[in-house]
Order: sequence, then structure tokens, then C-alpha cells
Amino acid sequence: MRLARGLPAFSCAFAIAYLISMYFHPAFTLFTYAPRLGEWFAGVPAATGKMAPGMYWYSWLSTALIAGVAAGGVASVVPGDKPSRALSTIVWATPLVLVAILLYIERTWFGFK
Amino acid sequence: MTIYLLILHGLCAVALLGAITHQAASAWAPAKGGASFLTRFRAVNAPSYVNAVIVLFIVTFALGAIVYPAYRIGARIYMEDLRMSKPVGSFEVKEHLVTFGLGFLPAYWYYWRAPRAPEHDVARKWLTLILALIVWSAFLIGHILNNTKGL
Repeated sequence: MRLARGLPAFSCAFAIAYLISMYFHPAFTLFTYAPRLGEWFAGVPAATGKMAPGMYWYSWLSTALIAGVAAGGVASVVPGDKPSRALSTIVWATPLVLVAILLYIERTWFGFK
Repeated sequence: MTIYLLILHGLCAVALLGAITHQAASAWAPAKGGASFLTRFRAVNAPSYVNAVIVLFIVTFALGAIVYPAYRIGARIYMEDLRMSKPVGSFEVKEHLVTFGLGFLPAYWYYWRAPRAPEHDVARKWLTLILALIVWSAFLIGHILNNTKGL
């Protein structure tokens, strides 16, 4: 199944794109959800009044999905029988690296400067 | 309705926790005979858990995504008002971790599908362990947060 060959690339691109869109918010934030209003808005409108608080997580998920589908699509048409051993190492090493970066980004919540 | 969905979210998480923990134990320390509880815990057919783990992860994730707005305008604002930055930050970590987990489900499925190439054994084991750790972290954070301020 050729399409399946793109799945490891999808996974890596999805997670990397998610972290990038979260960290560089609002650069890659496509839309905002206003939970008090129950409405969706394009981009990142000023979150004031009933607009606040804005939720961006759904948008980051969408950005990640787009990046994942693009990378997986490209990987599935690259000639070759199956993903290499190097790719299989990258696939399990990527989440470990991303989690380390994530914990560093989020450290300020826990009192670390 | 939110409460029912949250309970369902928790129940699915418990089932997912059991499935991924059995599979990770079996992948990392396969049982080689004996009849102790720990041996039987590891003596499962690891590949048979893949589809269950994927379905349970997606259902649990979707239920979490549905109740998330209630947390955002309820529990989170309450905790922010009380300057409880560690619980709020824990949820931030949880939402990002489970998103990573969701993203790696396709690779997890790919490396576990038959025929399972021996050269991908390491990727299988690590992806399973990483997913297990994500599920355990998310479960514990969610449980503690719900005790801190329920929906």
C-alpha cells in the first residue's frame, strides 16, 4: 500500500508543525474559537468582552493536519519500497525531542525562568 | 451533558490506559513462561492491541476536545483567578502531549502492521512506550485537575 509509506512522515510533520504553530502563535493560527459565544472566527481577532477567552488549539491542530497530509503525501510518492531504518529511528526520536522542547517552553508555568 | 461526556472521557481513558500498558509491557518485556501476575500481565498478544489503542485514543481525544471549551471558560478561569499556575500549566502540557500522541498514531499503526519487519522493532517499542507515557501523563494530569476544579 503506497499511501501507508507516507504515515511515518505524516506523524513527524504533524507534531513538528503543531509545536511550531503553538510556539509562534499567532503566526500560523488560522482561526479562533470563542467558547462563550460558541462561534468561530478567521484569524486571531482581539479577544475582548464576550470574545474572551479565545481558543487557538483547534487551529493549531488544523495547521498540523495540513502539514502532516502534505508531508505524508510527498513521502508516499517518493520512489522506494518502504521507509528506511533511518526514518524509523527519526520517527521514535522526534516525539522525545519535541517533548523536551515542549517542557522547556512550558517551564514558566512551574516557576522556572 | 458536559458532565456525562467528561465521565465518558475518563472511562475511555481508563480502557486506553489498560490496553496501552499491557501492550507496552509485552513489547518491552515479553513473558517467557511462569504464571505470576506480572508474567501474565505481559503475556498478551501485543499486535492485537493496536486497533483498540487507536480507536480508544481517538475517541478519548475527541471527547476531550468537546469538553475543552467548558474547561476553558470554567475551571481554567477559576484557577487563573487564584493564581494556580501549576495546574493551569499542567493542562497546557497535557493538551500538547495528547496532540503529539494523536499525530504519532499513524506511525504507530504503520510499524505494528503485519508483516512486522525486525529492523523496525526498536521503532515499534519506542512508539508504544512514548504513547503509554503520554496516556499515563494525560490521565494523571486530568484526574488531578478534575479534583482541583471540576467542570
